[in-house]
Amino acid sequence: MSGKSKKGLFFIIIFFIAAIGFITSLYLKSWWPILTALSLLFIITPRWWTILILGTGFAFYLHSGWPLIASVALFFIGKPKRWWPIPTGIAFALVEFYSFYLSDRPLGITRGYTVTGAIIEYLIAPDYVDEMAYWQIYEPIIDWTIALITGVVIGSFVSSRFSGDFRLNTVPDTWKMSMGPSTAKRWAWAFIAGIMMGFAARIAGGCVSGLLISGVIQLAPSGFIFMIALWIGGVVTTLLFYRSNVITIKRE
Amino acid sequence: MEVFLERLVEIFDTDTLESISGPTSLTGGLILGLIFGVVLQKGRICKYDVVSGLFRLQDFTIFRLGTPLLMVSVVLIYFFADLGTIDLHIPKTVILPQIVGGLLFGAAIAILGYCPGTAAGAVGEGSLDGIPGILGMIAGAVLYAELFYEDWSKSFQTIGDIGRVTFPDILGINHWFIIVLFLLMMAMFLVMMTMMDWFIIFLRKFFNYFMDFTEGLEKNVPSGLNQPASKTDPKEEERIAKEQIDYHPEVVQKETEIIQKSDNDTKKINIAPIQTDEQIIEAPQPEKTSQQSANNNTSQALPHTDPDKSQEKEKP
Repeated sequence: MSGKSKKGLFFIIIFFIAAIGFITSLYLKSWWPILTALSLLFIITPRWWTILILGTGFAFYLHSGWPLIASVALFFIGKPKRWWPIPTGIAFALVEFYSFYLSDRPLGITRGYTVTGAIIEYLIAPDYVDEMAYWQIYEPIIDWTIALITGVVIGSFVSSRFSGDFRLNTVPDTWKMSMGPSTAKRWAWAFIAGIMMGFAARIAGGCVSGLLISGVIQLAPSGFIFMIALWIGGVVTTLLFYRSNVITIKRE
Repeated sequence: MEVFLERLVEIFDTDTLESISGPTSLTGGLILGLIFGVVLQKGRICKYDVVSGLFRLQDFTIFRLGTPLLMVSVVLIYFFADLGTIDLHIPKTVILPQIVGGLLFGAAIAILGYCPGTAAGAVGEGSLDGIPGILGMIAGAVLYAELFYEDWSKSFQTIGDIGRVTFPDILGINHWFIIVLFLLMMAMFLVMMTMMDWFIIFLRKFFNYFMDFTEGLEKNVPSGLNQPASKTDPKEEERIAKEQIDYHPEVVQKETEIIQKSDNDTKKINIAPIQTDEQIIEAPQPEKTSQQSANNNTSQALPHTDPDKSQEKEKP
């Protein structure tokens, strides 16, 4: 297929999707079909104009200017695939402060996973969950942290899609170099490591963002203890786990 | 099955949800999560390669990102807490469980390559191996709650419990003294991290050190594994080359400038395979054909090019 006809087909598809969304939303007299169509448009063609259109659509839907401002900001600073580490660190610090300011709590992720576990148990045996002492602390309610995790997934997807960094893969490159290209092996190890991580986070009372960062920035001893223990555990395990395959120079 | 659905509906019912609107609930969480996701992705810390590279002592992106993060946020948090704009939420300090938990957590990060937040980011980015990690985290939390919480909450979880305290409370001095000390330490650490890279580059540039070292290490890796998958696939290679241009625009520009300068006479422009910023110096430079170009490049002349110059002088 030649380049010209490909481009033509491409624009026809875009027009088709937008038209379907527009007509359905006119017919149903509600906003969600056109918003779905716009989101789909963005996923198919992550360009600067799709992100601006998407931002405008959400701004009209929510009656607030913030989506538009966010899309313009992403348009200006989201194009490079990476930011340099130091500006990113400062941006991260602003997010952390914004969390304290806006939501009156530090950024913490692991609570969301624990609550998800509680919700799954609640679906199976609700009476049992009510008796458990631990699920009184982590009630099976969809809360702030679950919304936060959802936001992280969406934000990461939008950002990577816009800069063209999005790539579906099941095994990371460095793992391929040191442990072989088997998907089953990687996923099995990921699951085991996940169990260890969830367990350790419950023992210590938080994860990297909830205990380490928020502990250190409030000068609590817990953050420093956790940071040093994490570093030592990580390096020792890397040496033991990957053995002679530790050093893989990635030619980037 | 119907009972399941009823319970599912019950969970998503607006009465049992936290309040939807309002900054302290779902909307605020979603907004913060969106910003947080973008920052995580742009900082490249949702990648197994970067996190694992930290523990393999080969990639210090996380240190370079983490130090300014801690420096800036400690100042912001304490400044605005002094003004009364925000409240502190100090985590509980329990020494022994946190040491054990930290060691176990570090082990898990070394194998999984994501921490809980970046696992979610990695799923959004297309690295599907974050999914079993997330499922494992849920399973681990349930495991702890079901089997260990009742036994350990009175015994193991209280060893070294000193409550919700901070260093300024313990030492009994103004927190700004400690913050200044902390900032100095962190700044020194950051400078050290940066200097280490520069030092390696310096050694490579002037003494050709480390080049044989890294090559020797590559040979020790079992054959077939040290070759990235890109080498076999030309499309993949193209993609990676494109990425490099995006990641290091200045580097590429500099490199092409150097090549063009030295190749003005022959008009042959070989664009060398682009490598990381540490490896620029290794990049094959075309031989200098005339003394003019050598004079132009005196600033970039390396010690090991001196013999070439002397030969050129002797020839005529």
